[in-house]
Amino acid sequence: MAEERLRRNLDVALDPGPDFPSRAWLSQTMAAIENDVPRATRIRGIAAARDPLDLLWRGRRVAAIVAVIALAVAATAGFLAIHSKVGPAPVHPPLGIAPHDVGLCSPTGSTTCGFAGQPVFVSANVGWLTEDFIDQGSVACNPACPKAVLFRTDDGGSHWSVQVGLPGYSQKILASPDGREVLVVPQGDLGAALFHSTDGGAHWTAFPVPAGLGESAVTQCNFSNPPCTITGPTELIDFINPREGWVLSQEASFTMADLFHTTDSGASWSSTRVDLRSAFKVDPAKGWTDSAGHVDHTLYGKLFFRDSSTGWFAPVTACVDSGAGCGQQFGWDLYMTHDGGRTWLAQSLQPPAGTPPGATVTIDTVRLAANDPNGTLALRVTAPNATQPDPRPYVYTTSDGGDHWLNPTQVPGSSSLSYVQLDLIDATHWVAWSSSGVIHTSDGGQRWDSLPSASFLLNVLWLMFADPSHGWAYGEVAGGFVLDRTTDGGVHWTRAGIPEMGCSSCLTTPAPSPPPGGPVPSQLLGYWDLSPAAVSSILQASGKGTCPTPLTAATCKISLQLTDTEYFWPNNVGLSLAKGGVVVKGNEIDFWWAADCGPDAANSTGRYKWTLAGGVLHLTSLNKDPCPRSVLLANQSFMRGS
Amino acid sequence: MGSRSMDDLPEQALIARAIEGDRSAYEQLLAAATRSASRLAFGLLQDRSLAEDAMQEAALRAWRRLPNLRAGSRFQPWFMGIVANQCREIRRGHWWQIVQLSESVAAAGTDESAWLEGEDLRRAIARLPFDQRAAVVLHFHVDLSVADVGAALGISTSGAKKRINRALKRLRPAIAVSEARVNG
Repeated sequence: MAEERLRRNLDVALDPGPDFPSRAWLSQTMAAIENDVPRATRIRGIAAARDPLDLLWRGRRVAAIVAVIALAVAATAGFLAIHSKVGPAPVHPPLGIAPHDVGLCSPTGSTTCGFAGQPVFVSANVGWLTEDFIDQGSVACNPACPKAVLFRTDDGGSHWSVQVGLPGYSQKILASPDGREVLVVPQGDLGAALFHSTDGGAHWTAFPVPAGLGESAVTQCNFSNPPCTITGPTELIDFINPREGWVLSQEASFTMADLFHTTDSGASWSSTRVDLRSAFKVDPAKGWTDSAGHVDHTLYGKLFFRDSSTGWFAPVTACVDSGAGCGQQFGWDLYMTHDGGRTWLAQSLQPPAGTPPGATVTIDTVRLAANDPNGTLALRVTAPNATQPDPRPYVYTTSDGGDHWLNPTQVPGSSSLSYVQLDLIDATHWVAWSSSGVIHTSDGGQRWDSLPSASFLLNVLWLMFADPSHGWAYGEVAGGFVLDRTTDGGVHWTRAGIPEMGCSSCLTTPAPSPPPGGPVPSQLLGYWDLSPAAVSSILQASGKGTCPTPLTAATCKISLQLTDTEYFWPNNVGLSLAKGGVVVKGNEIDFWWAADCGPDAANSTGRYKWTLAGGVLHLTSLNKDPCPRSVLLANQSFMRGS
Repeated sequence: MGSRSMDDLPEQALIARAIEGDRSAYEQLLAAATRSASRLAFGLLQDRSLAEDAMQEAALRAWRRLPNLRAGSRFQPWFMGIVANQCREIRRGHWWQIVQLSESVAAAGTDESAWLEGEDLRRAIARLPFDQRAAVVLHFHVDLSVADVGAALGISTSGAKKRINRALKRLRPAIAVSEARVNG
C-alpha cells in the first residue's frame, strides 16, 4: 500500500511534462548513431534550444563556480581537519556511545522492517546476526531507534533474542569459539563504532574506529571541470577475532596511509605509516581518471589478515570506465605481509587458462585459518568482450599458508547465473549461489552438485556454513523472508526462526486529540488567497527570495484552504508548508498540529479571531502560535480564492 | 504462413541483429526502452535538457557496447544501467546547477499545481546519494523488479534491496509530506 502511494507520488513529483523526450529524440539519436559524431556536435536538449546564446547558463555557471570554489575550500579544510587527527600512535579512549536501548523501540507490530545480514555461528547452536532497522513506506521511525539490531540464538536459529541496538548498518560479527566474546565491526558506515562484549552479549562497550575509515573516498575533478568532492564508504578494515584487527586509513596527502592495529577490540590502537607508492605500487595522489575527467584519489582495496603477522592487501589498480561506471578493478598483484603490516611483498596471481588479454579481476575474499596451511582466495574475472559469460568466479588454493596461490578453479555458472556468490567453508568445501540456485563441492571444485532442496527459496540472499554440515540460508518466499537451516550439508533444510523487528509499534505516533471546537462553518470553507504583496513580503522576510514580476496572483500565490477539519497551503512559490487540523468555536478558529509543530494540541494550537466582511477574511492572533504558520495567518487578510 | 515483420521479432533476435550492425533493430530496442529511460533520466536529473542529453549519450554508448551484452540478457535493465551511469556523470559535471522553481515549471510545461505539490518529494529525491536515488527511481518510478534494479546497477539483488530500503528511510519525511499534499 505504502509502495503504491510512493509510486503515485513519484509520478506526480517526477513528471517531466508532455512531449518528453521530444518527438525528435529517437530519430535524432539514431542519426547521431548513424554518424557516431563527437558529442559536442550532437543535439542538445530543449532548454538549450530555447536559449541559443546560453547566456542564462553562462551566468549560472559563473555564479556556481564561485560557490563551488568556496565549497571545495570548505570541504578540503574539513577533510584535512579529519585526517590531521591521524597521529602516529594514537590511543583512543572509549567513546561515550551507549548502545541503544532497544526496548524503547521494541516492537510487536506485524510489519517486518528488519533486513537480516549474514550471521556468524560459533557452533551448531550459538550464533548472532544483525538486522538493519528500516522504515517501510511512509511509516515514521523514531529517530532514537537504532539503525540495526544484533540478535543471538542459542538453538541454531529457532529462536532469537535481541542483544543490542547498533548505530550503524552492515555489521560484521566476530565471536570467540566459546561464544563469550563478541565484536561487531562497522563496514563502510561513517561514524560507526566497534561494539564489544565479553559476556556473550549481556553487556557492551563501544570504541571508535580510527579516523579516516570510511572517509577517504575523495574525488576531485580536473581543472577543465568544476572541482568536486565526493565522500563515501571504504571497507579497509579486518578483524581476525573479537580482539585483534586492522584499519587502513588514508591520509590527507593521499599518498600515505596509516595501518592501525588493535589487540583489545579497539580500546587502543597503534599504527604504522605506509607509503602507498612503495608498499602497493599505487599513487592515489595521481589518482585515476574516469571518462568524465574526474580524478579519484581514494585508496580502494581489500584488506585480509590471517593472524597477527600475516595478511594481504589487494589494491585497486585501475579505475576504468567500463560502460557501467568507473569500476574498481584489481590487478593480478596481491601484497603480503609477514610482520603485521610493516613490510609488504608482491604476489602475482596467474590468470586462469584462457583468460583473454584485457580481462579485469575483482578479488572477493581470502580465507585462511590461522593454523592451517590450506586456504582459498576467490576472485571474479571479467572478459573485455562478450566471448564468455562474465564475471566468472574462480577459487585459488594455497597449501603453504598463502605464499603461493595456485590451481584457479572456475565456479560453474551459465549466462543465467548473473551474480554468483560464494561461501568458502574450508579449503575443499565451497558453496555457491545465485538467483538460479545453489551448488556445492566437497573436493575443492573437482565436482559440483546442486542442492535442489534449497530451491524453496525464491531468492537466496545469503548462505553460510559453520562447518560442512551445519548451514543457514536466508532468502525470500512469497510474503516475506525466511531463515532455513541444514544439518546435513544442505541435503535437507528446515525452517528456522527469523528475528523480526516489527516497526509499527515503535513508529506509531499517539493519536492526536484536537482542541475543543467544531467543524469549520460553511462560509469559511474553500480557498482564501493572501494578496500578492503579502506573499512577496512573507517571502522576503523569510529569506525565501522574491516573487516574480509582475506581481500577480498567478505568479505569486499562497492560499489557505479550509476543509471541515483540516487546512492546507496550496502555493506556487515553492514553499513547503505543512498542513494541519482546524476547529472553530464561535469567532475563534484554532489551527493545531502540523508537521512542524507536532500532534500535541496543547503545544501546537494557534488561536485566531476570524472576521468576514465584504468577502475578506481577516485573522487576528489570540495567542502566541507555537507553529511557524503564524507568519501566514496573524493579522492577515485573505481574499476569496478558487 | 505469413512472414514475420521486424516488429514481431523477440528481443533476443533484435539484440542479435543489432550486434551485427542492424540499426533498425537497435532502434526498436531503443524505442521500447525510451519510456523507462526517460523516466529514469528525468527522475535522476530533474532537468529535461540534461535528461535528453544523458539518454542520447547512453544510447550511443549502448550501441557501441552492445557486443558486451551477455547472451540471453535483456536489453532494458542493461540499458538502464548505462543511462543511470550517464546521469551520474552528467550530474558530476553539473551538480552545482541551480534551477529556479519557476524555470523548472516553465521548462516542464506541466501542470503548475501538480508540480508544486511534488516539490518536497522532488527535493528529497535530489538529496539522496546517487546510488540510492537510482535504485529508488528504478524500482518505484521505472517499475523495474528488484532483481532488475540489481542488474541495472551492477549489484546483487540483496544489495539492491538494501539500497532501496535505505533510500526509503531517508525519504520517509518527504513521503509523509508529499502524501499529505498529493492525496490531501
